Amino acid sequence: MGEEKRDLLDAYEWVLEIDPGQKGGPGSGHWGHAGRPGQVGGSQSGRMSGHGQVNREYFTKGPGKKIVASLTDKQREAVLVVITNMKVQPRHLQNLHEITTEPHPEIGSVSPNCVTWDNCHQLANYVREGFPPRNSIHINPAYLGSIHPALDWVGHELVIGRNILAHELGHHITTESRWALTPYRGGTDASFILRDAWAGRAGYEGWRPEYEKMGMREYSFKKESEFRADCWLVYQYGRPHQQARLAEYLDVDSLDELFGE
Amino acid sequence: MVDFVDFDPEKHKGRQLYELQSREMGEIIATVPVPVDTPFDQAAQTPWYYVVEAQEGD
Repeated sequence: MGEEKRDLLDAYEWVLEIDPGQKGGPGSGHWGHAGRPGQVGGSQSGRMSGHGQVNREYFTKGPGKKIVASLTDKQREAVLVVITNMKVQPRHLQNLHEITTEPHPEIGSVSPNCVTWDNCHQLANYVREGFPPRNSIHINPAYLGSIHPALDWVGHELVIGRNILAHELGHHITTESRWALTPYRGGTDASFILRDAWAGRAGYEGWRPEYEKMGMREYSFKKESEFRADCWLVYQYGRPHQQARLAEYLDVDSLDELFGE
Repeated sequence: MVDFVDFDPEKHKGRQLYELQSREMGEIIATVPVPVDTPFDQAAQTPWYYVVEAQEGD
């Protein structure tokens, strides 16, 4: 990796300093770093650029521990099962303070079918300056309780908890995460690709039934934040031909290139 | 509380579909399952957006 690129990563992306007492271990080693398919080795010793997929250790020993700290063991397991089966990287989770079953303080309680997401749009400008954002996902414990621990992604044993987590994460990832604030191809913020697609086309053009072919729904075109969150959903769960069409709509080579690289 | 399961186009034909939709309350976004009239064939193209109320056998 060239000096210039390393400097860029150091400046904008989450970097993990490995605890000297924790180095080594089975697998690719670094906390939360599952490695990249087709590549030998991994991140530089003691550092992580945030491009590997998060794994269990990210949440049990690494920086993700605080995100799920308030959950019970069973709830934490449900969250881990969902997130570690999505293409989630550390930079997608950065700036996410917690996933909790506690009611949102400003709402006072979580109604039976309600999940809340603390929208920190107003903090966006401070993230770059190190101001600690407090994005949090408040999820009804019944949803987490209904996620089957032996998750079967082929069968349909998944429940709404998975969809809710993915949807809410989509909001966070495409708005306030380190991914969203990282320059894309040396240009403007990655999230700008989605904002630009909304401002330049989706927002005024609106929904068209043929957009199902790129995995979207009518609700995706209701407002920009939903459009962006649903781009993440299609990246996670869309069929390959739908992902390809959405990439074309967004004017990127692929969703993997946009979200994953 | 009603339990929901992921929409399965093969198993849930004819069932009421729900979609996760957001409602904004100031700076807070609350996401709730909302019943929708989306045609079955249309929903089958993007099943990850939909859930149905859980019934015995789901």
